[in-house]
Amino acid sequence: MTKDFATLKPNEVVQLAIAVEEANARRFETFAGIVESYDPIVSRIFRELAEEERTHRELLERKYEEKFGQLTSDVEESEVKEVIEAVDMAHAEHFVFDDMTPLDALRVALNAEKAAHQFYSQVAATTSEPDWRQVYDELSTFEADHIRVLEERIKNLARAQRL
Amino acid sequence: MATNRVMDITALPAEKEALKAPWRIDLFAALPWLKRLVRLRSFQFLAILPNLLLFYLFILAGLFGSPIGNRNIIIVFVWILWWFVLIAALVPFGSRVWCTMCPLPFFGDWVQRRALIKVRTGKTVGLRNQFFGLNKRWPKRLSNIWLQNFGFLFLATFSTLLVTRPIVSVVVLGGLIVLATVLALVYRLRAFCNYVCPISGFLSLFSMAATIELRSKDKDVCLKCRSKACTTGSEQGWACPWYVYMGKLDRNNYCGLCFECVKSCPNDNISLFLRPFCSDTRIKSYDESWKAFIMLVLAMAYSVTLLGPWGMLKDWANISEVGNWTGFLIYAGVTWFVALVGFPLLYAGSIWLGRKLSRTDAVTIKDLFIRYSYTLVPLGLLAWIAFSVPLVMVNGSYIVTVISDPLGWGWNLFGTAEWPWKPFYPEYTTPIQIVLLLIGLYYALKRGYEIALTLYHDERRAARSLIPTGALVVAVTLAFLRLYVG
Repeated sequence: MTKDFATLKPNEVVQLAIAVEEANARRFETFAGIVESYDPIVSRIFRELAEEERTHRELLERKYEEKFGQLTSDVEESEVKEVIEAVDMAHAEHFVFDDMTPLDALRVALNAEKAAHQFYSQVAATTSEPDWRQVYDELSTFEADHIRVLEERIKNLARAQRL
Repeated sequence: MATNRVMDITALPAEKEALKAPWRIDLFAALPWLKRLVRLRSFQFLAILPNLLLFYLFILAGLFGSPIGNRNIIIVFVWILWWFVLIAALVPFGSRVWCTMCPLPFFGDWVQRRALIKVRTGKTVGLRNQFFGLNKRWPKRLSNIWLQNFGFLFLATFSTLLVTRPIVSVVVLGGLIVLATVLALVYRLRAFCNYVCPISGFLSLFSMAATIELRSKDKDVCLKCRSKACTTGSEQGWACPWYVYMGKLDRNNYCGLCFECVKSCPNDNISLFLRPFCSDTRIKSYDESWKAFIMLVLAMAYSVTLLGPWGMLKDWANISEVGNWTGFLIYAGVTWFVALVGFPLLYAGSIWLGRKLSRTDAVTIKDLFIRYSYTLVPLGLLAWIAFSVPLVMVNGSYIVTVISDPLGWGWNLFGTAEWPWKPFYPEYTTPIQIVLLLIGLYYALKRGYEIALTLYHDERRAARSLIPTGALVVAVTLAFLRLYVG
């Protein structure tokens, strides 16, 4: 039985955010494995992104402990109806056509971060509880930072490819 | 949810209608026995086995049976019965279900998996199954269907040899099975099926029109999936041999309906859906567009040479019996030129004109060229069916005789060897062909307009942009009708 995101308490929301970062790290590792023998550069980018997701998870864990105390993992991504942040391939036939580029890999991550940012912003805007809004706003800002970093990487990579 | 098309809230009413997710019926929910059947580990083996045995019989018949085509089972069953069933029933109603039971990659799969039924877990190039062989990456430059395009065109050019000389069919079909096995030893997964098999190429294109699809039930479940076991494999199922990712699958082209993903999905999120005809409308690249050109031109070339009134053209194409090499080279050269250059140029002209008529540069020539080539998919498929109808209605009685005498050795196993040659209801052939072509034309124009709406977001511009391509499609249909009706 899946829960509505709206029914989660603030500490559960952060627990969920932590679980999401770990899940994405694993997805990136799966993609890295698949493309390893196709394009080592894309594979390396996916592994770097997996590492970044784990760094995000650690940051969130520290925030959680500052705010709520000892971390428990009571909420998993699969227990919640909504999709908060899930990295995914752009299309189903990347491996058929061998057309995944380093830029595609970064865009995969960017799209997921944008979805998460939008999600947290929306729930922050609709909640009436100040404490909860603060948690959502912090998560939204957290994702906005990741978006900035990824956009910078994409810009640099695109520029390097043009040269 | 079985489509990834996104509804644009600013869309016009007609566009909204065009973008609206069409109906789907979950066949696994409606027919639970079907799901149980395809989930059997032995399912694909059991589906292939009868065809493998038949294939073996055909090869023996081709090698040792009568050299006369219509007295040998390899010719009658493969090029009359199988072809008709494939193009008129399996493709339009079963998508790539032929690939489920195709014997060609059987030995390749066997050497890669070293198993006929069970699954091996392990690690191979990012996958979670153990595969044997070199597992090399297929060359990136060949990761498309150009080889299949040229392969089919080549085989089609020599089709009179193929459909009249049993030994030629043995060489071609036997060669394909050897090639599939060798490629499986060197390259990972189904490189042969994805990039080389000439039959797979047109199945890929025409499966877009099919009334069934294998898809994920809920895309969000796939989004949240961590293992992506449909692509990478699991203890329950092999990694997708076609290397597609079910979470984003939105067209049939490269799904060979092996149903491994139904077994490997940890979320029980894959199902078979019934859907409207011609639901997948996104052609993605030039190689796929050219496949549509080639198939349409070949349907026309066959109709001209086999059903048309021009005896000289028939003789030119019939190199196996007439032996006029000069005539054959003219026929082959013209066919290749029209399929690869002439018709594409004509089509490109219609695209250029359509873009002018739309009075906007909002859509690129490339996008229009690729996307509008879909109009040739329903028309091409129905033209092939229309062409194949008289073949089976005229030559169908050979099927009855050859069952009793498969090698042409004078046997009479079931008492039907002396069945007289008699066309089946020849008076209905032309009306059936007319109806088929008009269905093809209807879907070509209807889906063409829907594609135009998604590109232009403006009904008038969309309609104007489609006028020249629509006129071309109508002209081609009239040409077919002229040939069939006389």
